[in-house]
Amino acid sequence: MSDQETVDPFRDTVRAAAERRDALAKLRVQAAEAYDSAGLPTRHVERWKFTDLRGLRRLGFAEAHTVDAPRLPDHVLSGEGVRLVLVNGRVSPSLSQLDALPEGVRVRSIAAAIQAEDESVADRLTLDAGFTDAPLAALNTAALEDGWMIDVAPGARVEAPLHLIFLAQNDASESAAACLPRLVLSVGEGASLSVLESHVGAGVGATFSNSVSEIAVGADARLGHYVLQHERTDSYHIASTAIRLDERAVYDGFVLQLGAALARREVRALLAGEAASLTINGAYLGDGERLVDNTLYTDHAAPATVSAETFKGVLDHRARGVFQAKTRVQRAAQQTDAHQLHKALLLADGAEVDAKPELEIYADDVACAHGATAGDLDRDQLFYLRARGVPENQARAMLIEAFMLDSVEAVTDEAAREALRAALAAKLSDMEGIGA
Amino acid sequence: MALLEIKNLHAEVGGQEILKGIDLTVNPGEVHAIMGPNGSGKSTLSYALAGREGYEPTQGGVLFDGKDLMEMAPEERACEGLFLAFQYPVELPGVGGTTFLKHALNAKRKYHGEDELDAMAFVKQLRAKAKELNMSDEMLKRPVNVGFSGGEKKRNETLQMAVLEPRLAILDETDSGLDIDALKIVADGVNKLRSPERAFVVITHYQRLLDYIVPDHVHVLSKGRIVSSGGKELALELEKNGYADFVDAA
Repeated sequence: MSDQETVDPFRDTVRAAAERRDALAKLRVQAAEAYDSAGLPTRHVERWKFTDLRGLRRLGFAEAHTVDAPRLPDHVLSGEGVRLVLVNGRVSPSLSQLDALPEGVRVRSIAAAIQAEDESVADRLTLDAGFTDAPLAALNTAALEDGWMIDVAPGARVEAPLHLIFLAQNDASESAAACLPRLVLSVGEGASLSVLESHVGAGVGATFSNSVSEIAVGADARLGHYVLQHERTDSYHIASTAIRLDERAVYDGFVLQLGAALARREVRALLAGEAASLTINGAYLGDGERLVDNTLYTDHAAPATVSAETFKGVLDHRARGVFQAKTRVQRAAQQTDAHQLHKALLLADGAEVDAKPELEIYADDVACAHGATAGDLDRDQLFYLRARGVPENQARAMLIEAFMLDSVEAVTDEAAREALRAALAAKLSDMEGIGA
Repeated sequence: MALLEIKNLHAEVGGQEILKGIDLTVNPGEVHAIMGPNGSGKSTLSYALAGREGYEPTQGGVLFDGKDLMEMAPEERACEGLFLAFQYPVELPGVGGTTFLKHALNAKRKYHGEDELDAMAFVKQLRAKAKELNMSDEMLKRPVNVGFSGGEKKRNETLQMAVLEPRLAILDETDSGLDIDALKIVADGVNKLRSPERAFVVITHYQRLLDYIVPDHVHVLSKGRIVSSGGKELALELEKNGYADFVDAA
């Protein structure tokens, strides 16, 4: 093993961050210790068994610079929405529409709060967002610069969606830029909000985006959360999202992963209140040697809670898909309804998927199911299209799109559905010849 | 020139010879019926002509408008004007009916060096054709054949034929699974498409369909060969006496 692989690329950053004496000082020290003692996860850690971060170690890192001229790529989610843009983890006032915020929505920059020596900012953040063995979340906390704190007032029914754009831009090709965006989102009791999220890359070099989101949905509130990950294909994307749902809260989520060399989105959802309901569906596309990982941990802690998780993946060439979904039903969570399903389309012999749905049930009156399938395109369907004159490449692309669209169609929010559909169609037409 | 000329066609499925020397000539404007018992090779013939994988010709040849059909990919055959109405139309979840037909028609136009259709004009034309087949706009929007009844699927095949305007249509057991009302709608649709330039090969087990789509020529297929050919009266004879005479003769 070379030195580069043994030396932790973030050790110095984290140690330096622990010296900072700002409003987050205490949290930074704890987080730095947590990161230092664990280091980057290796495949010996059960939750990282299928996803290897050694490539990340080999990248040389520079601290993400401030970008003078951020360039928003075209492939962010389309449609109306109030834009809030982070560039390399820092708020971009020029690209953000902070003066157009809908009524009932309060948005603050974390950096501004630190700057103002607002001690309360530390109360809004946790060391690891509730994740266990989460050195990457700790890395974010130790060294974080900025991000959003968004609060929706109780009872506010927000019509216009918020569009959170996470841009990673590296203008130097020789080293990768690391950015550590943070999001704290709280939807008050009885409120309702839709959030679109675009994670995109620009510039000439690789980036490493390691974001942490802490989301709380209050009693009787609703959050629609629709995420596009379309980073540069040489970049690393790690996202840790913690969600807490109170009584009768509804979280409707979808994640479409189309880019990055390695992407891992990890969600930890706690259904804390009775009759809370969580939907997280997703679709992803892998080609070349890319890896796409969706890891979910869903914890039913209250009665009559519902969770539904359906993911669909398309993998070509030597790409790999990882789906780990563990659902725990605590003893108190009677009448829980929990479903997990993963379907993969493997277009080449070298493509691979590791799907591991898991149920851990301590209550006796529950309805739980999980499943996973993997296969190639349907030959009868291909022939049917070709017999109608559609060339083979196009027929394959149509069937791949149909496979993924099927899951997008289930998104209840119409604007989000259209935006996701357009993002998927654009990507597929860009990569003509997938599966050929 | 003949539109379709099959000469001594042999074909294998899974290493087993199913077609054992078919000869058939179809001229523009003609309707040929191919009748035969189960296992005689009717569907193999239609799939071999359409170019389905696994239905491999081993001897003989097929000329379509003077061109070697067997050398063409399935999509080229379709673009050249061959249409197979499937016995079991395939469901395409996630592919809307209108999108499907637009892709098919534009592929054909592109093949012939024509511009893509204007989307509005296409939808208007499609709706008019669908209406004649008693198909609602809603059916056009739904994913192709998903949740369709047997009759709806066959009507959808007929609609595709009407939109793609083939030179030769092969109807593979189009009557199977249809009640009499659905059969009439489909047959009406086919009859409207009859023209001096267009030919049909109607493959069927039963004579019933031929009451509605009246053929010029009837052929009996048995054990991979055409064992008898005649006019439409041959179909009536088969209806009366069954296939036993021909099966024994083969």
